[in-house]
Amino acid sequence: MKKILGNCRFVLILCAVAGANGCIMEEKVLEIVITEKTCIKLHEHHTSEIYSTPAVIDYAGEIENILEDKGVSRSEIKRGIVVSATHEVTSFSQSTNWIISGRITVRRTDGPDDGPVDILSYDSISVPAALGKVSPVDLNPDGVALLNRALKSFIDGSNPELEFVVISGEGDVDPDPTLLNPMIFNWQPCITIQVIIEQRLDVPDPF
Amino acid sequence: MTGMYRFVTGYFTVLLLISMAVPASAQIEDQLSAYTGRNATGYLKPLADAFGADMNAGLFNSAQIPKMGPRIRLEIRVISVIFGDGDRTFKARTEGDFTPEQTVDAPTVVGQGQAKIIGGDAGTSFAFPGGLDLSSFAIAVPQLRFGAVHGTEALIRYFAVNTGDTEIGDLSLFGFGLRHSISQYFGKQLPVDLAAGFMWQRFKLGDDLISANTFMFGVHASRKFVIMEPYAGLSIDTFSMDVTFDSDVLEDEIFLDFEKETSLHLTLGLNINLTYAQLFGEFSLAGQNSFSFGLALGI
Repeated sequence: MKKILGNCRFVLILCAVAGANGCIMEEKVLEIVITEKTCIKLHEHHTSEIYSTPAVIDYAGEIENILEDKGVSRSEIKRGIVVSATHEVTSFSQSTNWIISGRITVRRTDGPDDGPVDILSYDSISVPAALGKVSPVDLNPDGVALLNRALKSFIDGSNPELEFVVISGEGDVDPDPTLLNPMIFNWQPCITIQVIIEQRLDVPDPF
Repeated sequence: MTGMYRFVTGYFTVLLLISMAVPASAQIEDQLSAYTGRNATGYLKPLADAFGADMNAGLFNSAQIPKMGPRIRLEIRVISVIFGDGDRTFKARTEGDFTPEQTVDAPTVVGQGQAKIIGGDAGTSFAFPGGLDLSSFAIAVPQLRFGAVHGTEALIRYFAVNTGDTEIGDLSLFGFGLRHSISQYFGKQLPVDLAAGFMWQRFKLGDDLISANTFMFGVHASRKFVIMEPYAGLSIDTFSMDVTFDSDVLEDEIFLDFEKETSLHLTLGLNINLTYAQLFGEFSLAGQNSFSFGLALGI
């Protein structure tokens, strides 16, 4: 029995070696990437091809919601970036095949004099064909730069608010909407962003 | 009594060591959420390979099995893989609607902690998540060896840990194997002890997060020189793993099936026989090389 208990000390030594925190656990700094979409819900009801539809987005609130879902705080964000944009018609019940073109501008409305600049443009989209279909759209560098500045401003502690305006000019809608046949649909351009979170974590890395 | 108390304390320290993998697992799920199937597989592969190698190692430390008589040994094994430079990056592809589509060397789960960010059209960017910056991946497993009946012994590996985290769930490993002495049929004709056997194991983390299965069958040889006993083994290993996680990109659950991999496994080790204890260390050459050391107590 004495020998068995004596041998148990080997186990203790092994466990002590293996279990020593400084030996097994190491603090690592790693960057997590969270990918999310911010969507602008738009209701279009027009009797002319020339129109503008504004929508204000609480950008800070949107990002805060994303972070809350992931259980991280604003102070943990290292960087935010704009990745891509899409659009989708979410409701449409008319029989007319509206073909629309246009652009969307963006500007800061929470204080800083930034914008308006074009964020995205779209060309010859069939409204009924786009119903329920998520399609990529081309982004404009000036608009992307503004959104990236807004993301940085959020990280630095501000609460950016953005106004997006859909602008349709002459020749941008075919056929022309009229009082008798107005163009009515809901759609949502979405911007995909990534936020990079820096986290410190103790992980086992013994050798 | 004090010695036995210490033994139990030590045993639970080892169980704690096993459960230390849990925070890392939670973090891995967060990292994976930025990826869809193809990138996620490449991101996780080094860890999957290491886990398979660790599970299939440390299954024996001698080929000598008595024909009849009591054998009961409680063993504790530490098994580790050291990662090489090739494990640290993988060919990752940009995802979603990012343009232009690009393929770059991005960190794997064991690679650098810093995210890799690349530029795209119109000032857009795409970020690939960083890794855990691991040099090694080790597991410590308790196992019980008992027999012998007609030159046959059994090996059981078992642990189960309640992680206390509802998102991760519980962690468990169960393994069962049998080995049979071949040399008993040859009397003194063979210069070494020879045995053949198999081992099956199943690892589960959470309901679906990670589920892994291994199977090994092979032959083992050893020869005793006073207290020293060099040993070797040649086996065929199989390893398969399923991972399920939520993707931010697809806003859906992603199921990754790491298809069954089969590899040849050569083990070379040295066993030191003390009165009621054995100390051993070994190196394994397989699909992923590993080393192991440990201690057995009993008769």
